[in-house]
Amino acid sequence: MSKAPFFISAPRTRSSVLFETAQFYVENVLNKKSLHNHKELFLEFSRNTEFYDLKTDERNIAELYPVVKNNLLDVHYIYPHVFDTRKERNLYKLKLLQQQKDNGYEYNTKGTVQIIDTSTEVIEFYNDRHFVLTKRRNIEDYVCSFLVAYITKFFHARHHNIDRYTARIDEKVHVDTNIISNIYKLLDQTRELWKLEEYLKQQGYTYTVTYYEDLDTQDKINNCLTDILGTSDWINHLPENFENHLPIKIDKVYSDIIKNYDEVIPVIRQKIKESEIEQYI
Amino acid sequence: MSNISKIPFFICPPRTRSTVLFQLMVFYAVHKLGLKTVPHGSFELFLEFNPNIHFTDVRTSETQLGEIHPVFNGDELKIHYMSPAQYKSTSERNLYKLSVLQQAKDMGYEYYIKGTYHVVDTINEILEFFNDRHIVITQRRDIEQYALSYIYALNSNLYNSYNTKLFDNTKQYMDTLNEGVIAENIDISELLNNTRRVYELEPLLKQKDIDYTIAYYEDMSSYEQLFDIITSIYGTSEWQEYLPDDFEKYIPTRIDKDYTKCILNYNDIIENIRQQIKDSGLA
Repeated sequence: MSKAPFFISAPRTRSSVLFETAQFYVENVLNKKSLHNHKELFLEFSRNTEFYDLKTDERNIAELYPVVKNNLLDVHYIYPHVFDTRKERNLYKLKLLQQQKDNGYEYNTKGTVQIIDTSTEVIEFYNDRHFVLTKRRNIEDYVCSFLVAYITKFFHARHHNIDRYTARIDEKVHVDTNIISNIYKLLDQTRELWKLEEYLKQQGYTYTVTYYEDLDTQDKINNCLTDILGTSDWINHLPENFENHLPIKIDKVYSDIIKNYDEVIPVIRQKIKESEIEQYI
Repeated sequence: MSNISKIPFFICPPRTRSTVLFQLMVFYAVHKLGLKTVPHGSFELFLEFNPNIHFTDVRTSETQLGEIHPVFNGDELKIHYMSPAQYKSTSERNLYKLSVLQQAKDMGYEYYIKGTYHVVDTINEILEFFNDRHIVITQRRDIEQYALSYIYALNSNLYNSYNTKLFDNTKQYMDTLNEGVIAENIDISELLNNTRRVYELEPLLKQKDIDYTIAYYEDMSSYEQLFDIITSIYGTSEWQEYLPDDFEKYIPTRIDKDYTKCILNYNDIIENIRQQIKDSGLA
């Protein structure tokens, strides 16, 4: 019997492709509910959603705030932010998930790096799942990919936004100093996330580690999901046009897209070294 | 009237001088009667959406108004704005807000808030929750002026002129007034319908034997008149001792308007407005 997966995913690791390809089987056969509005429940803020106050001319990004609506969990956006810390946010989300579990509803959600502040609680909550840790071997590309997505606010190219995506990428990006300082945060959080493999092993939980570099064709993605789900039956539940809804892989040459690449790459390399993340790939 | 002041709870259609009355009474309500306040600009807790808070999905440029969503954190009532809206109806929203107010009440916190006409959708629950309060209903006799005042505010998105410690929009307000607005949104049937439902509350209050006062906009044109009404509501003039010297810095500025001038398409809309008033049965 397949276990439903719970993804523990750093960004830019092809986790969305895996998650979204698996979702039809997970939701229709393994009976996990789909979460409305946002699948990444533990994300704290959405950079694509903002509240604008006409009176003060202030713009603020919204906090993800799940609520129970018609007896089901639904992700909404809220401002001012309700919680002061990531830990408080995660515990609130886990509390709602537990209430829903008690009522017989379990959800197909994707865990992002934000879970690290309550990793034990999150893993224990999902301890009947098969964990999937998504990683990337080339850390330099990982950081560059994150920077480009963060600056352009385009985390995925999809069929509905491909024109805007391509146009924005063609404009190229300039990485400001203040954004470079975020690299530490990204690397530290990713390292902590990847360290969880050790914890999963210690606890005897079943898990799979996937690598971005091994998921570059649909065949490889399919094989990977068959391993994770323990069956190839999931393929029978894919809708005909499923590929039209998945993120589109667009290979990029970061030295070309990042206008000040020569300036930022030594900093990125130094920070990768200092973070010691490479031990946990 | 009882000798001990009861805490007021306001049920107010817009454009009735209710904010002036409410703001003048806050000092006594907080410092003598022990009520808590909500953040400035959020005291109309039962309002459904804040017209000044726009939520935008940057990817699609789709914009929605933020739904007012209070949260009690065990220590204070905080006002947030949510999108997409969590509730489908005014009634659902009110019941959620009452549940939050009940959580706060259970912890010993009661709030000084102003009920807008939205409370009529759950009037029995509202009156039950506030059954130890003195209900203050604000009304306006001249319904045509009421309708025009609302249409001007709605279309200019300027509901009050403030020159207060926290917020000053005097210049914007006066510039807009001098420039005038074209009233594009003139469907006020919902306003008139809900206002009629507020005006019809009096028999219910009598039937439930609830203390109440009806205060008319036209009777609150001077501070003397306002002060007399407040003394009557509180049952004491002691409240004036709690009024700060600079109290005018906390209340909206009264600016009389000639709607035939500041609504630039007045002649085009006035017959429609009169018909809506007639149809509503409010007059």
